[in-house]
Amino acid sequence: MKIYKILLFSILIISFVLRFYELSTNPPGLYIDEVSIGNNAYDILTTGKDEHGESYPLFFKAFGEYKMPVYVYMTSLSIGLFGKNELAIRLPSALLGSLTILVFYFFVRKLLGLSKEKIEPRIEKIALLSSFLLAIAPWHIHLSRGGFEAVVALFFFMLGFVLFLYFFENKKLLFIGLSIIMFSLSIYTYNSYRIIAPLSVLFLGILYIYIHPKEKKNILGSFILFGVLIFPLLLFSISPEGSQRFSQTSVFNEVEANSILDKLIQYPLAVFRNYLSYFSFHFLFNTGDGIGRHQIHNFGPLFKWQLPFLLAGFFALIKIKEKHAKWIILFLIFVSPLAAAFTLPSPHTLRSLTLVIPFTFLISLGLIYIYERLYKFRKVIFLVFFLAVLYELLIYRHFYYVHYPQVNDRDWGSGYKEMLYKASELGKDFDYVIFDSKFNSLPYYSKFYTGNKNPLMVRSKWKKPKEWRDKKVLYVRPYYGPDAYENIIYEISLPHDKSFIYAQFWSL
Amino acid sequence: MKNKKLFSVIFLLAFQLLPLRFWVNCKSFLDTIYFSAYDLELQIIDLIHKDASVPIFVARFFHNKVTQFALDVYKRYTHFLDIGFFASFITFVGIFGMLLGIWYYLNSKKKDKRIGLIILLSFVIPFIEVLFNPVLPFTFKVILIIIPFQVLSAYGHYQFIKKKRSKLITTVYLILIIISIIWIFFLPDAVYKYCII
Repeated sequence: MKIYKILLFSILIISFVLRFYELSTNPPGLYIDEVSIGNNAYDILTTGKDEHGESYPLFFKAFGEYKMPVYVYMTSLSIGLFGKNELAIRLPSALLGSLTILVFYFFVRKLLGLSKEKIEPRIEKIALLSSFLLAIAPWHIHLSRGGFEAVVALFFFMLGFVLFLYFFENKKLLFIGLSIIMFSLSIYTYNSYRIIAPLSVLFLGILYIYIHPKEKKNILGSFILFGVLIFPLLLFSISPEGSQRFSQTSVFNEVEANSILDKLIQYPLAVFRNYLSYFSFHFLFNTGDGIGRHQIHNFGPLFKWQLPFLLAGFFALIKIKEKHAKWIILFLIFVSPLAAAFTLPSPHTLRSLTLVIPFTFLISLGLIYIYERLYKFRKVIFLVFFLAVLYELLIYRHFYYVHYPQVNDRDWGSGYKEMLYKASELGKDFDYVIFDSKFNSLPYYSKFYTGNKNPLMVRSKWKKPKEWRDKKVLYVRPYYGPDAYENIIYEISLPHDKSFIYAQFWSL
Repeated sequence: MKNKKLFSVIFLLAFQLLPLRFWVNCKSFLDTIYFSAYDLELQIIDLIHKDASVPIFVARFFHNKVTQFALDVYKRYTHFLDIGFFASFITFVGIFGMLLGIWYYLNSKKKDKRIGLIILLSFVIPFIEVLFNPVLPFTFKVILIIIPFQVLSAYGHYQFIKKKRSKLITTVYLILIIISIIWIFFLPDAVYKYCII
């Protein structure tokens, strides 16, 4: 028993190291949504109002897409502790991302050991292996290191699942109450869970009634509690503001269908096609969704060596004795990409993050299954497995710390920070500091890094007006090609790509 | 009774050939599917250039021909394992049959070596295509790839029809046939995602 605890503790250490090491500097920069979260969180902390002047809002207007509140409020706490910087914005995600490993361990343990008097060593092994694989999963590590609400939502979602499983066993109302609160929190953290969480509560409720047919009362009570907790969100969802995000990203926007009959065929087909894209091996093991913020170039959300074990895991799942475990995992596989299937682009690594849970479980199940079947060759298997895991983990780490900042720095808004700090420093000797409008996200970055939410912005390739001829102007613009260099007083490159001139500072 | 089962399997196999109607319009699989030694060289050079800040032995440890070859071939090969590819190649009925074939093979106490060989061929033939791109007419290549898939799914369908109740069989296949028809005829571009016309 003690050895399991030591192993679990070691896995937790690994998960924290992989998620926190150089968190402030890699990913390089802050992407625009992180900045928006940071600005709103800071305003809430200092004034009690969001950037649009609303007091303690339940939904943050932000760019008009209306962000869910939990991550913003958590970030305001971390900004209070660590100041307005990259670490504070990413802390909730990295911290709860690391703790998800612990929750996942208890999830697997409870899932396979439900109603058993004693947890068998085999179950302990699968639980430990699953949590280890999640700790090193590129899908989960990568997203935990950015200010992504989905990671925090997954933590609450999984905690909700674990607590519900505890309720299955000991029938204490406290567990189901807490579980419902966790499921509700996941909804108030990330949009995908507006669909995933209610379906999960319904599924768990039905499963519970199926196992304990005489105990419907508690389940009905939990449904009512859930309804009450998500009622404000339901009201919000049917408002134009609440459906804003979906109408921006809806898959139906791109379907060309005129007649009703056409729509009846094309709409479900578009969703089905999107849905299937989440089970593409090319997506899972090679490319991911192609969005630079979501994975490393040429790496999928899962490790390449895991493919055969994932397939073996499916096979092992069908043969598994614990029926409820089978149904719960199959349900998770079914429901995880459901919300994402209604949106574009597809596949989308972030919106389908929940899939990492059943897939990681299946991979560990597959590993154990193959290990047990080929017990005679266990030493060889262990050696091959160990080397494959280690080598791909090392390659991943190398790509993440050496290549990723060079290749994907522009995906993360890299350069804004350096440019704004330099403009503040040089601007002391000028009457005006003005920025080229090509830096279109600058007001948000400026507010975050310097506190100035209204920097002077001018159209591209602006010329100094006559009425300003006595004024000293610092004009900050992107590199537009070779030009009259006598007016350029400074140039900055991207921190990780010195060959690319990010901004030129012109003295006019 | 046995004839009825055989007839059902033949019907399903014939149905699985429907997408070939679109594949015969293609000239080749996409270029991204094929391995290229020249492309591999370029990839390694590009990767090593990005490693200016690390010692050369570290760069070579991660970016060498063996590793990059394995990663590159793996990447190209997984196109053939894509569910979208299978759906457009042998329909959802075929996917179901193949999965059943593997399932029944793995669960059988006395393993039929011929089925084992077919499973092996199903995975090996696409691999040869990725690696060597043999100079053969495209239609011939498609037929070559599809044969082990068809045989494996035939085995799967037959076992399923033999062992399950007819109500379940009818329902499952009816659903799969409807989905496949919609997929093939309303999404022909799903085929052309994998080949050049």
